[in-house]
Amino acid sequence: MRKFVFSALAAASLALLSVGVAGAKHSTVVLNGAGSTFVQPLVSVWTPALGSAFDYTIQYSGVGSGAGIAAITARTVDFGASDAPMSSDQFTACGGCVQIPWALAGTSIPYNIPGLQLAKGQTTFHLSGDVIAKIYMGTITNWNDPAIAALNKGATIPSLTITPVYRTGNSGTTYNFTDFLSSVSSAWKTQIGQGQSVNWPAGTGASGSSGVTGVVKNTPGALCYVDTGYAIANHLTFASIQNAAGNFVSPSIRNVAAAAATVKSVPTGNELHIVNPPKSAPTAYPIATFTYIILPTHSSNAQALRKMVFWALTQGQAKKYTAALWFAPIPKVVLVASEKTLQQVAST
Amino acid sequence: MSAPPISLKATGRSRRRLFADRAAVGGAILAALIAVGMLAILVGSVLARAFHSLTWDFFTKGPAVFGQTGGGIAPALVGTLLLVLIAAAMAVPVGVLIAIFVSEFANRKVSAQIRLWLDVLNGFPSIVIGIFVFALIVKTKFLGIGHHQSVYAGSFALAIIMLPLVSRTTMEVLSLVPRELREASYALGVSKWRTVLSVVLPTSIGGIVTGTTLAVARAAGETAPLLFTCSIAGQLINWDPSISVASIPVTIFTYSESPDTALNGQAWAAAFVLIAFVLLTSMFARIMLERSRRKLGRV
Repeated sequence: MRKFVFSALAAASLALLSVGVAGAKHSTVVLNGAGSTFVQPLVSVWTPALGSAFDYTIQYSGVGSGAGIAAITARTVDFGASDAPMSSDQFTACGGCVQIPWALAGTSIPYNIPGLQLAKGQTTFHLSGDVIAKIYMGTITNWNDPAIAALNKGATIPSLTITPVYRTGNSGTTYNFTDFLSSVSSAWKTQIGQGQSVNWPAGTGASGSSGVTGVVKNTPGALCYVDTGYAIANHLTFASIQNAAGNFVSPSIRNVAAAAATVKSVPTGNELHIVNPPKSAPTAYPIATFTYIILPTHSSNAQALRKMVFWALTQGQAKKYTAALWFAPIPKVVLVASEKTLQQVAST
Repeated sequence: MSAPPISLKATGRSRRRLFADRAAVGGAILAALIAVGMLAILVGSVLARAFHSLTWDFFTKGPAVFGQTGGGIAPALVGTLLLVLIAAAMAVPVGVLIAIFVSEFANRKVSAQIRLWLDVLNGFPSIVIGIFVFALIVKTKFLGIGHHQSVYAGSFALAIIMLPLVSRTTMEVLSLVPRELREASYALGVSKWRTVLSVVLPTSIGGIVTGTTLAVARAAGETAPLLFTCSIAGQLINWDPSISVASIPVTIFTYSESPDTALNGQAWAAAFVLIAFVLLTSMFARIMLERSRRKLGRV
């Protein structure tokens, strides 16, 4: 009996020892990141490629853009990620951080309307910014509302209560979505406004991109706003949104790229807004966003961070990584600005 | 002429007592059945939902890249193993030393105080322990480790949870060690510390292992302390304790929120693995305790 116990203890300590040895052998660079769930699918596709290219291990946690900014501010991670540009207060708090646009995608509006039949010749369900604003303000409450019918002439839309689903917590996708709604609806702008989290007048909350997607998938009558990749991966159908030119467009790579092409110059600080682009871009998707990686200007992993982000900005934009997730390649003018900003990241 | 037969049938007050007795026994049996039934339903329903996901890949592979199917929880299995092993390495020596101090060296007043504080620690909300460890060694640098999430931080939080369990169980067994054994040792001129080391501890080793096992089972299932200390994870198996790893409870937490039904299935499967682990370790602990009791009874 005693012998058995001691041999068990010996085995346990041997196991611990081997853990220590294995740990000591670990020589690859580990980069911890946290933030946006919007960009998480892309990071998860990049991770194995970065592992084989540089022997880097990327550990990324999708905690939401707001929590990501908090994490890099507290320096508990090597990089943060946010779809919302940092405010000047956040920059001050972060104490020597830069934000670099490193990916670009559309925020889709998936819906769950059982029994919806579109008119012959219409391939996608149509919504406008004004209607979406009214749904989220609680003034349009049923899918058979005349305002929705007017956008989808000839469609059979069931009488079904609308459940608008929003993100709880501080979310960059919420920022992007409310940025769009504020730009198309003056009522939204004055009553609710834009931000990483706002006071929602109607609807149900869910946590993270996965959370809202899950609620829409399981709730007849629900709609949400989420990175297109999540809608695709979960087989949800999403609406085509009316842009400033009056066209109904999907968040396809081409349409998101058309919206991004309206960026002619990048301001210092790299804050970019491409929601509701002007009429001159007739195919532009109106709810697209650049998503940012937030790096400290001084880091013990500076070299690895620079290499990783440079890779993401160049090879990482290749179709084999981005196409299936509906991420669009970032335009050249932004790429140049990003690479320039990247040079500010120095070793400690 | 014979006396009328005495009826053995209860009447009046005794009849009422009989009913009360039967009702009480029946209620107790029912309550026991509910407890056992709950466990059976719990294990059964988890297994039913987990069954489809319990494949070879589930145990050997890392999570699938976003949008792809398949994948497994191998990094989480390794992560939880690492977390509880290191947590046990931290908690067991300290816990056993506390128990030895309380039951062998401390006076009654001090030992009562320590017991009380251990019980308070045992009932402490685990999320608070998580935040405490976050503030102590994740947010700030501490003894050269930290400033980011790591296995060390997660294990430290789990060790705080394990500590009262280990030391309370150890105290129990130490108090079971017969006085005569110690006296025999003293009679031979053996010093006190030597008695503790060579007589008391070896006699109660079974109980100490039991406490450790139960504490490990408890720690393996804790989620809240890990959320702040060890929840950023990559997609590969990692053995390096200086960085953060995936773990079974955190995996269950994130997968259960996923819109992907395959991941929901994996969450159930991970839950089943955790339950199986807890059941097996508890059974092992029970057997160990039984053995050490029998041995102490023989003395």
